[in-house]
Amino acid sequence: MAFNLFRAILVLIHVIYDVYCEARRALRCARQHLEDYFFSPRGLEAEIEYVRQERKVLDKPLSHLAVILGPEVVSVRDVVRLALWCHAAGATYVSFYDPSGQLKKNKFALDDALISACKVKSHIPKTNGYINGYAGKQFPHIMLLDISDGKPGIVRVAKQICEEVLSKELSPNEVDLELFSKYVMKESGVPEPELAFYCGDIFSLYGFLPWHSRVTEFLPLHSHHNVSVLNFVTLLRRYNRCEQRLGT
Amino acid sequence: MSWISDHGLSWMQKLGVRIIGSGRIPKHVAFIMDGNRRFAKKHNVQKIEGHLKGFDRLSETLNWCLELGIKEVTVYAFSIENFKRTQDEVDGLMDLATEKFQRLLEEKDKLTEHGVHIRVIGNLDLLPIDLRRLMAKAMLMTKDNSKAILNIAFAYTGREEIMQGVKQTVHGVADGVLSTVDITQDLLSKTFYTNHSPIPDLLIRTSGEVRLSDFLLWQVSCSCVYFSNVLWPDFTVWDFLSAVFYYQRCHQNLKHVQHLENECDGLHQSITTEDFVLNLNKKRELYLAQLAN
Repeated sequence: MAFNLFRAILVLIHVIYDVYCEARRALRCARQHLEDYFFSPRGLEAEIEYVRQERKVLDKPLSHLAVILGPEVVSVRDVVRLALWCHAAGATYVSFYDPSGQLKKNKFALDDALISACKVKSHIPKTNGYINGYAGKQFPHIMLLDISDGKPGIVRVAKQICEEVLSKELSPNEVDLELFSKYVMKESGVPEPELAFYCGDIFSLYGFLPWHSRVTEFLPLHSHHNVSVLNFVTLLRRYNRCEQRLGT
Repeated sequence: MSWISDHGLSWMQKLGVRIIGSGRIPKHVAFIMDGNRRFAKKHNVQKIEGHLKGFDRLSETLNWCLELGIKEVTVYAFSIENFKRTQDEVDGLMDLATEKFQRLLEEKDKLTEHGVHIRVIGNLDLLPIDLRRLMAKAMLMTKDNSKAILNIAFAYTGREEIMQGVKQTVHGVADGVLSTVDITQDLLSKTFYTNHSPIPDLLIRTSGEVRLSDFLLWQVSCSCVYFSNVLWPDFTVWDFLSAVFYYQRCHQNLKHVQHLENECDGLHQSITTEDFVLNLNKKRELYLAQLAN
């Protein structure tokens, strides 16, 4: 009897909280619309220029920025915008993690969208498959990742090391943090991200590269659909304020 | 202060626990207990005082977990990276740990009464010999308890754990015990320090930091993560209940991705892998028994 009463109260609290979350979401959207209407640069070119201006105040390095799409349905248009902003923010690598693998399947659509979004042809960033190509430091690598790049990636590296041990290229005693890390990084094609944005209301890694997420700062993007450049820049500033102590 | 606090809860807090406890409760919760030093700075006391307060908070948290029916708790007590701190602080932390493990051994009856099983996860070889012995004794003393499990990550990092696990597996292949096709996510997870634990349902990190800091990198890949802004010594039962409430709201959404991850693994399991894992566990038990002597 008492348990049922507690249970009823708990359900009620969850319902009230649902309403509160919806209201908060609606308010956030309304505020974002207003801000975008009054302050946001118009058009992709202007957005990129805006991010480029803001980048000057960032003093922390940003070699790899990851976007964890999590539970969201992929919007290719917004992925393109984010990729180009990240590029403008100075990230050498930009990765999009979609556990379901939908984005990987849409690679060609994404490539086309990137080509049409970039006016200057030589500035087209390359998606996976060009890892060892010419998209070097000057332009970012855009990596599309899914669940098979997470733990299964580490399993593949373990198998590879075993093969090398069996063919006497490597001794089991040589396996240490440095060596293993080198193999994992090579397998994934991306360095550790300093910063990751996650979509959705809750935070989980959704199976994102475990080896890589050691010191990554995780910040909420809420949603990548119709993402606002102002919000993007706010998160970059927040990242710039985070202090890394690395255990000390 | 004792390992499991006797501090009673106020009637309001009890009511909170009963209400939240009527919903879904995580089986395994992990904590990154961050903010002890900032707490000390804020209150103008020595760093070690902050760590002491942090320990007191842990013992209260364990009590809340027991009240709520959470069966397993894993805490990040000391990272391998923490050895880089000043010698004074590292010594202070080792002394504190030694004192607390001595206390633990004295509290045998209480731990047996609550049925608490203690495990230390991490690379014990990196620790002073006295502390290592106490830890091994504590693990052996409580190994038959099964009502609640406390895993203490000490001299631990997630990367070191993964690397050690892979290394064991590579040795297995080199010795001809395993073959390359036997290597799966499932096998690797059985070679880790946490091999006896289910994956954590909820990870709580205090002090407003939004990183994993090399804690359980493999295990929390599909868990619900809760970042709290309070410093660990200030963590209250209400903060804790909020985290569980958050878990109740999100656990359903993560089932799908957990399923996807398991699907990647296939169904490979052979007698050789089972033997390999059994042997590995035996070796570890032997090592613990040696340490305790």
